[in-house]
Amino acid sequence: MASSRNYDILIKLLLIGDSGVGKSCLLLRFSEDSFTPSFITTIGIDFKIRTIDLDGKRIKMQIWDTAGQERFRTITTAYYRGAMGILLVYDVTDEKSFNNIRNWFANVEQHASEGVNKLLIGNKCDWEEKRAVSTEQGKALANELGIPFIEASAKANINVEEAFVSLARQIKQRVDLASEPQQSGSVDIGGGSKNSNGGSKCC
Amino acid sequence: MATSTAVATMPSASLPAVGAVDPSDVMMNHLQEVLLLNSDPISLLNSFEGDDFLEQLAPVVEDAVNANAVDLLVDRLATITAQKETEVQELCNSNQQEYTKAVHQLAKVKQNSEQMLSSVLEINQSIQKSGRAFVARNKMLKDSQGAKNNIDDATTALHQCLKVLHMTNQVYDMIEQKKYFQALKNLDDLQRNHLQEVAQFDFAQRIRHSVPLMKDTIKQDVISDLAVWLQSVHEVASQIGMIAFSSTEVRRRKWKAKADKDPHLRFYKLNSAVELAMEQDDDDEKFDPLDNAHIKVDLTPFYDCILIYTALGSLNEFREQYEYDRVKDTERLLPQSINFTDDDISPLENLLHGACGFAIVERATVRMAYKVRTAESVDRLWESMCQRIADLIDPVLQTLHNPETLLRVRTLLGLFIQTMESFEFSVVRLQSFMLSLFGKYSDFLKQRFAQEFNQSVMEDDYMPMVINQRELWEQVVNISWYQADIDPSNVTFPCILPFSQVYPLCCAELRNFVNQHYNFSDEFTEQNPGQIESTLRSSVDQLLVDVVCATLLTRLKSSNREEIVQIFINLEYFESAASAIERTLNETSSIHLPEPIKLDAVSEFARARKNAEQRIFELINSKIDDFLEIAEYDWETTTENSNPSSYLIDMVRFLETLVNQTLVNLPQSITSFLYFDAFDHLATSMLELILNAGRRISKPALHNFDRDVHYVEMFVQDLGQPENSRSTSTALSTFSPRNAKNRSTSVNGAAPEDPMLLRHRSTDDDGDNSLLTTFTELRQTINLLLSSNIEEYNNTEVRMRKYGRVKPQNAMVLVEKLHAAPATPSRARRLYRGRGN
Repeated sequence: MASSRNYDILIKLLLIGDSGVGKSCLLLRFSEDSFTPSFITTIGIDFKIRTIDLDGKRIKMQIWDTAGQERFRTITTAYYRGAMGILLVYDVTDEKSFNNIRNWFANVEQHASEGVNKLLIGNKCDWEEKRAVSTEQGKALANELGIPFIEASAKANINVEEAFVSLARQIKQRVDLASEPQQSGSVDIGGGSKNSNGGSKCC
Repeated sequence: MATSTAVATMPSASLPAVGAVDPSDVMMNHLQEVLLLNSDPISLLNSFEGDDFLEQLAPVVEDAVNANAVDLLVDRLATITAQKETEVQELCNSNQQEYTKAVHQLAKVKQNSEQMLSSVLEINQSIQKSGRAFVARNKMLKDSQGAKNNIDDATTALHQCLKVLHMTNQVYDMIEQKKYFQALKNLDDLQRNHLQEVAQFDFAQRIRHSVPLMKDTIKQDVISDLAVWLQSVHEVASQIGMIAFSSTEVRRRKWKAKADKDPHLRFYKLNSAVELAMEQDDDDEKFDPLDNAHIKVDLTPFYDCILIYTALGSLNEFREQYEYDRVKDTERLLPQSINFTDDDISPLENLLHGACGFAIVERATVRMAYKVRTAESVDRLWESMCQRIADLIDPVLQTLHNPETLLRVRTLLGLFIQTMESFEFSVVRLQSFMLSLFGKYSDFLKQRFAQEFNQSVMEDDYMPMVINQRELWEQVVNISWYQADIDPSNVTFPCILPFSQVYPLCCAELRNFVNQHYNFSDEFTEQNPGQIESTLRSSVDQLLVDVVCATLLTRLKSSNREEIVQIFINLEYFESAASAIERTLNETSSIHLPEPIKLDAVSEFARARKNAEQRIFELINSKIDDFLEIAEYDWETTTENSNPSSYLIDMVRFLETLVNQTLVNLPQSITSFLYFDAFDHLATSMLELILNAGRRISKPALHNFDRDVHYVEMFVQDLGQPENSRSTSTALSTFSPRNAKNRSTSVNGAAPEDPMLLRHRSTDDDGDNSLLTTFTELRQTINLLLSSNIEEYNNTEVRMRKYGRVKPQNAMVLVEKLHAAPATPSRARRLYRGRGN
C-alpha cells in the first residue's frame, strides 16, 4: 500500500435522534472535549474526526452528525448506508425523543447497511430534576431493540468517551473478524456496496 | 408876718450866752428868736393862740431831744420863763390884768409843752418800736425768698431726673417690644444729653454705667432674635427649595413647549438670556421664592440686626459672626452622610431642597445687605456646599442598581442646577458632577447592555430568523436598520430574515442604550452637550467594539460551522448598523462637529467579518483536509474503478449540502472567494496526493485518479453556474454526466465527452466558471500524463496552449513515476532535457 496514512482502521459512525437531544454536543465533547450551552441546530450534516488508540490500533473515527430536524431527513438518510456504527440518541428529559427512538430504529433498519453496530444513548443524564425517562425504561427499550444502552451527559462529561469507544470497539471486532482472511487492511466494511449508490453513472 | 419881721429885727446881742457853737446855744437862740418874735405881748398872746408857735417849737424840742439837751431846753425855758415873768410883772404892774391873763396863758402853754414833750417821747418810743418789727419782717421776707428759690431748683432737678428715669424705662420697654433701634436711639439721646443734666445724681451715674450693659442686652436680644429667625428660615429652607424647584420646573416645561414650537429656540437653553427675556415678557411679576403664595420669609430680623450693629458700630463683628454661623449652618444642613436607595431617593430630594432654600436666602441677604453678606463669601460657601453635596451623593451611587434611579437623581440634580443658576450661583462644580453621574449612568447601561447581550448570544440559535407575523416582521425590520430588498407588502409569512435573533435583540438594546443616554442628557445637561455626546459616542463605540464585536470574535473560535457562518452574516449587519448609528449620531449632534463622528466599530466589525470569513475558509479547508486524510489511492493498482473514490463521493455530497444549506445565506461575493479558496486548496492537495504517490503510478491508478478529479470538476463547474440554473437537489444525480454534458455544451460548445476540453478559463475571464481554473493545473497535469503523445510537451507552442500551468518539475516527477517500472527512465530524462532546451 502506497498511501502514507496515519491510521489503521477508519470507522464511520452516525449520530441520529430527535432535534435537540444533544447529538452535536456529544460529538463536540468526544472530539474536542468541550461543551457549549447554546442551542445550535445542525444544518444538514456535519462530521468530526477523532483518532483513538484501541488495542494497539490507531482507529480513525469519522463521526457524522445529522440534523435532527425533519426537513433535513432526505439529506441525512443518505449517510446511513456508509455508517459502520449508529448512535441512536434521545434526551432523558424529553419523553418524546425517547418514544421516537423506535422510528429512528426503523429508519436504520431500512436504510443502513446490514450488520451495522448500534448503540442507544440517553443523553443529559446529569439533569436529574428534569428526567422524564428512567434508566430502566432506556434499558428496557435497548433490550427490546437488541442493542447496547448507555446513559451519558455531554454537559457533565459522563460516559461520552465510553459510548463512542465501546461502539468503536464492537465495530473493530467485527472488522477484524471480517478482514481476517484477507489481511488487506481494507476498512470498507458495511460500505461495500454503497458506492454504487450515488456515483454509479458518474463518468 | 409882722412877727417874723420882728424877730429878724431882734438884736442878736441879747443872746450872747448861747454860743454859736454850742447846740444848746443854738437852741436857745432859736428859742429866743421864737419867743422874742412876739415881743409884742399882744402879738405874742395872739401868737400863742396860733399853731405857728408850736410848730416852730417842735423842731426845737426835737433838736433838743436829739441833742440830749432836753434839760438844757427846760432850763432855758425856765430862764426864759423867769425873765418873762419879770417882764410880765413889770407889765402886770403896768397892766395887771393883762399880765395875769398872760400868765395864765403861759401856764397853759407850759402845760401844752409838757404834754407835747411827752407826746414827742411817746412818738419817739413808738417809732423806735415799729422800726424793730420792720427789720424783723424784712429779714423774714429775705429768708422766704431763699427757700422759694431752693424749692424751684429742686423741682427742676426732679423733673429732669424723672425724664431720665422715664427714658430709661422706655428703653427697657422698647427692648422688650423689640424696638431695638429706637431703644438704641433713646439710649444714645439719654447718654449724650439727658444724663449730663443730672450727672450729679447717683442714679444717673448708675444709669450711665448701665448703658453699655443695655447696649449689650440689645445686641444679645437682636442676635437671639436673629437666631430664632434663622432657625425658622432653616425650618422652611426645604420648603423654599421645593417651591423654587417647582417654579424652575414650570419654567422648564414652558420653555420646552416654546422650543418645540419654534426650532430657533432649541439652541437657547433655560436660564439663557433669551429665555430669561421671554420669561420676563410673559410674567409681569417675577417669582420670588421668599415671598409667594406658599411662603413668606420676613427678612426684618436680619435688617434689624444690621441696623443695630451698624448703630453700635460693630458691623464687622456681626459680619464675622454671621459668616461663621452660616458655615456652621451648612454643616447642620448637610449631614455627614445620606442614604437613598433605588426605591426611595427622597433623602436626596430633601437635601437638595434644603441646600437650595438655604442658598436662596443667602443670595437674598447679599442682595439686600451686600455690606454684611458679600457675594464672595456666599459664593465661597456655595462652592463648599456643592463639593459637600457631590461628596455625599457619590458614594451612594455605587450602591444603586437601577439606571432609572440615576435618571431620577439626574432630574433632581438638573432642577437643582437650573434653579441655582437662576439665582446666579456658579453651577460649574455641579455640572461636572452631573457629567460624572452621566459617566456612571453610561457605565451602568454598558454593564446592563453587556449582560443582556451575553444573554442573547448564549440564547441565540445561530439560525436565520423565521418570522411568522407581519407585526413582528415590521417590528424587527424597524429596529434592525434592515433594508428589506422586497416591498414590505409583498413579504409572505413565514418569512426568513438573514440574521439570527441576537442581531435584532442587540439592535433593540443599542437603541435603548442610545435613547437612555439621550434621556439623561435631555434638557438637563445643556451646558455640556459636547461632552455628553462624546461620552455617548465613546460609550456606543466601546459597546460595539468591546462587547458586541469582541464577544462575537470570541464566539468565532468555536468549531461550530453554523455558528461561525451565522456570526459572519450577523457581523455584516452589525457593521451596517454601526454605520447607521454613526450617521444618526452625526445627524442628531446638537453641536457643530469639527469633523464627522467616526465609530471605530464600523471598521472593527469589518475586521471581525474578515476574521469570520477566514474562519469559514479554515473550517471548509479543514473539512477538505479531513476527507483527504482518509483518501486512499493504490497507485500501482491494476484495476480501474468504475466509480469515483468513496471519500470524494462523501466529500462532494458533504460540500453540496454545505453549499446549499449552510453557506446558502452568505453573500455571493464571499462564497465566490470561499469556493475559489476551497477548490484551490482541494486541487493543490489532490496534486500533492499524486505527486506523493510512491515510486510508480500505474495507468489504471492514473485513470482512477482522473475519474476522481473529473468528478470534482463536474461539481465545481456546476457550482460556478448561476444560482437559478444550479440544482439545489441533494441527490448526486446533479453531477450525472448528462447534466454535465448539457451544461458543458451550453458553456463551451465543445464536445463534453472529452475531459480535456473542459474549459478552464483564467481568472480574468468574467464569469461563472472561473472556479474551475482552480483545477487547471491539476487537469493539465493529468492530461499530460494521459496524453498519448507525451512528447508534445516539448513543443513550446503546444505546451503553452495545453500545459501552460504544469510545473516542469512536477511533469518530470510524474512522468517518471508513470513510466517507472515498465518504461525506461531514459524517456523521462529525455523529456526533462527537452524542457531544458
